[in-house]
Amino acid sequence: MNTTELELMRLLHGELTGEPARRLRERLERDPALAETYDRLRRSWESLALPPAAPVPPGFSQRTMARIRVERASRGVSWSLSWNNAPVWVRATAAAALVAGTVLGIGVGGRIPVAQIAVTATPDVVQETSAISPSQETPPQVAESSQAPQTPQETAPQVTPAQESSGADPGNDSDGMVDDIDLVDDTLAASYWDALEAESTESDGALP
Amino acid sequence: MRNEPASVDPGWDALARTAAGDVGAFSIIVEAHQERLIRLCERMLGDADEARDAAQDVFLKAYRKAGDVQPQGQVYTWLYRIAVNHCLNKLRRRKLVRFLRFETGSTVADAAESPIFDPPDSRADPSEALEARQRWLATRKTIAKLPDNQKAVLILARFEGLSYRQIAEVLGITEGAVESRLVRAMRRIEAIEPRKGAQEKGGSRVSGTEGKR
Repeated sequence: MNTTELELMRLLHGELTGEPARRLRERLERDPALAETYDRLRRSWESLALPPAAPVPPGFSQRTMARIRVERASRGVSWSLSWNNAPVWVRATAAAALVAGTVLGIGVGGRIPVAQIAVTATPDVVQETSAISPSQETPPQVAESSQAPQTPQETAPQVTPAQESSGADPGNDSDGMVDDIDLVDDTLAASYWDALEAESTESDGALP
Repeated sequence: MRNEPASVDPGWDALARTAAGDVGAFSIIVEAHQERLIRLCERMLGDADEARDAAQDVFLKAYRKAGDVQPQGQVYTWLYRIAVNHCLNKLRRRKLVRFLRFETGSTVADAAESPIFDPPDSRADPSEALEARQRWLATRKTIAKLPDNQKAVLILARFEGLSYRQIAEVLGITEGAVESRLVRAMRRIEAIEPRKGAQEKGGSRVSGTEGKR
């Protein structure tokens, strides 16, 4: 792209004015080749034509503004529900509630023994097993440090990770104590059976 | 229109009020610029109905950006920038859709820029009207063959009558880039025109039929 070509385009478009334009016009008069180039460019430029634009349709601005108002309304709803719009105390309270709920959920979920959850429906069984169940969930180190010294009868057998991984039966270990889990399950089954029997006897006087 | 201070254009005040929540102030912008935006969109897209929809989209985009814009120059150059980008995106999408429909290259080039090209003409002389119509169609096809960046510069320079400086402002490029794009566009048009002339001599029946549409 040479300078003359750019200048010719500038002259054609009206960008070149004053003295530079006058000088270029003088050159065009002296140089037929340059004049031919300019003439070709001008013909191409003037051959470009498009139809006159259609008039603005009636009600265009009203329709546009209506669309904008709809946009604003929808944006207003989403904006009012945004956290960015909430005051700091609301955001802080929500965050604190979330953290507290999470901590409480983890704490409560971790403290409730599985066996206790299972026997909630039979309070008599809970009484029988209450002495056994807490020790099942308490790790050995925690039990030793946080609880008062217990008698050998009160202390539940501890299942070590090695026993778990080797598949050793904790109920048949060297101290000869009965397996807690079996005891709980047997007691639960027996109590259910007794309850069923009693209910049947009361209702029709005969065993099922 | 060249490099006036921002305070000259009252449109910036209307935009500031719009950003502050006064939606009614935006109607000043719409009323003041609807005609030129529809015209630009029509020249870019070649379809009056699509141009009206596009102009509405442009106003909607402008409304969304009212709070972010820095008052600089004239409001209409800012609106033009949104409009040019919007129309170029629409043209690209149109081409992509046609490509995905397995239409041939020539069909894409022809149809992309002249989907429904039947503008009203008030000329009394039918032969003049036909000639004008043929020129419009030829121009549309020629513009369709230009790359997007040259197309925008040519339309803004030739049909919108903007100066190099204004085009640079609209497109966010330098005046030198505007100049070189315009010259490249004209070179390409000059290269297309001799071939087109030869085709018209060989197949004048076809162009005559197109002109009568």
